[in-house]
Amino acid sequence: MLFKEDETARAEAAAVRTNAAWYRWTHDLVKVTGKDAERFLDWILVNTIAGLPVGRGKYTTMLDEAGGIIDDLVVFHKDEGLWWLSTLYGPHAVKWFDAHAEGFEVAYEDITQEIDMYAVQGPNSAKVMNELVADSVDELKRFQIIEGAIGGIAVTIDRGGFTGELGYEIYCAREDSAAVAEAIEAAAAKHDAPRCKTLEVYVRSLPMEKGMALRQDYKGLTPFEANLGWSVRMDKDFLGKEALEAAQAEGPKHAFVGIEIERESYEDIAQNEIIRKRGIPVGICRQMIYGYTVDKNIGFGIVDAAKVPIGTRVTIGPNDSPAVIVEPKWC
Amino acid sequence: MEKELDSCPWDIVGSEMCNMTTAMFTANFDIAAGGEHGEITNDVALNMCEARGCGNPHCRVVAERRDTFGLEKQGWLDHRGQAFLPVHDTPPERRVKHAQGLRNGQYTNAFGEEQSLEWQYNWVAQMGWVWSISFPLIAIRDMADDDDEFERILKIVFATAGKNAFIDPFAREGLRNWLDIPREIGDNDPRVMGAYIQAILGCQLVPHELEAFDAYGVEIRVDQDTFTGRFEMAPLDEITIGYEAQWNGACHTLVSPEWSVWIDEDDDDFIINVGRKVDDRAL
Repeated sequence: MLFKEDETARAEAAAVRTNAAWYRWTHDLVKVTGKDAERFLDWILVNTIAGLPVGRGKYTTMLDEAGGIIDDLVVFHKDEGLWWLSTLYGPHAVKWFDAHAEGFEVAYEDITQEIDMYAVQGPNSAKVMNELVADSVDELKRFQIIEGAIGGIAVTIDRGGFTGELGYEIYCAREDSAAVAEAIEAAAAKHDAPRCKTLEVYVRSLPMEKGMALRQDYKGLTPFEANLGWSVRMDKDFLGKEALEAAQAEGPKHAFVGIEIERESYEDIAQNEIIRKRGIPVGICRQMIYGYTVDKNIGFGIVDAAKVPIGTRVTIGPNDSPAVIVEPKWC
Repeated sequence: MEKELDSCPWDIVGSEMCNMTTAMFTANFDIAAGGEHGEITNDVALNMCEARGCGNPHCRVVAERRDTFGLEKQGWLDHRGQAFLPVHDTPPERRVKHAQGLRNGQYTNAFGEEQSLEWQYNWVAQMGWVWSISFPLIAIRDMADDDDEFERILKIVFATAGKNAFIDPFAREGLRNWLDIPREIGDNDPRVMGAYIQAILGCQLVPHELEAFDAYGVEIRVDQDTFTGRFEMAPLDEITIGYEAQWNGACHTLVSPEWSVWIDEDDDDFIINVGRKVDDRAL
């Protein structure tokens, strides 16, 4: 929960938006190898993975047989025959692969415990990175992944992040974590880039303002309902394609929307709080947070597509807070 | 031959209704006793000697052959006479005290029926509508000069019935208790009336969808055909006008006169509204 008056959180958010900031950014990593790794990933994910060059990555969702999103992730072709899946739900992904890997010569492993991660984010993040690494990061493309070194320590770097700003992610062996952190701190200090300590700022508030959601926010939706249609390649075969085609033919049942609470509110609106229109339940909240860049109480919700167009006035939460449905992106 | 009903689910209706029922039974007898198909005779006199609705301890209907006992032919509603022969009297210890009631969470009556409350309420609501509403309306329609006059009388009758239903504080409290309305919903809240309408629609198995249910009003959508066609025994074109007037009257006493009920048409549907309205011509 974030408050309007939290000056620390506000400063951290402002740093990311206007300068740069860094933080320990842990998410899961699943390593995928094997003769059929590329073919397997191309089938189990909705975006085109086949032919992805070494050193590049792609954002994609993963669907169940009913066409609903069960994960959203970035796939990196780290090296020949070696893939890294950057996800928040590693153990789930591994279980899912177990159930669907038959017929593929593929191996996969949750390597989260071996690798530590840091993120450097913000319009000046490249400057901070260039203090850290020998080779300039200026030419890196989005989702490009390379090997590098920080003070002699081998690291992997990708250009990406979860703040909607220019940014980079640094992966290192866990035993090198402290040394890497020290190096980042020193480089960041040269550009007055603080270390972010408030998790809700960089996991919930900053991403939400830019329209970036967590996988759990998309619960039960098809990628089209979740506004992720751009990442779905219907010209190839993938798990869940048939159900997705049927769902497309029927038309969207749900819509993924933004919510703005219309008054100064200190409520902690939880996941699954009911959204009501004229007292009738029409959807559920997914997450609510304070956005410091836009200075509003904002959130994501899943609503009945037909009954709740953008602009609908609703009430949410046990105290019937007045809110309005908006596009799920604020800046 | 005689038949003692002791009492039946209609024992509260009153013996005028029983008079009509007994007349109907007489007709059945007459048709059946005719021998050849189509030949109607009047061989049997049927008398409702006692009626629980009149205060007697039970109901007794006696059939006696006219030629055996030298009885006169009965007129159209002459069925509340006495039998020729003395009737039996059920000893008090074998009489039914309550003709109908709730036991074991079910509705039970002297016929030996035990049904869920929902089943019985639906049956009573349907049949009750027929006997108590449809038949009198047929009589009123005959009496009125024209259709406009009939509609005027119908609206007045239903509006008054609706208002009277919730004049007493215990009636309002009783409904709140039955519908389990939270105390946060105050005395001037349209949702009390909305919930009552929903309960009636539910009992009558009329599918409906809530479109609004908040402190500013209630909107309930029903399909026109299911709303008007639910009493198959006695379809009535004016059922919509009747319910609109009745619910509007009820709303004024159950909630307050600031709130009204009206029914709008929307394609093949009706929208039942509970909302604020100023009506200078209110009944």
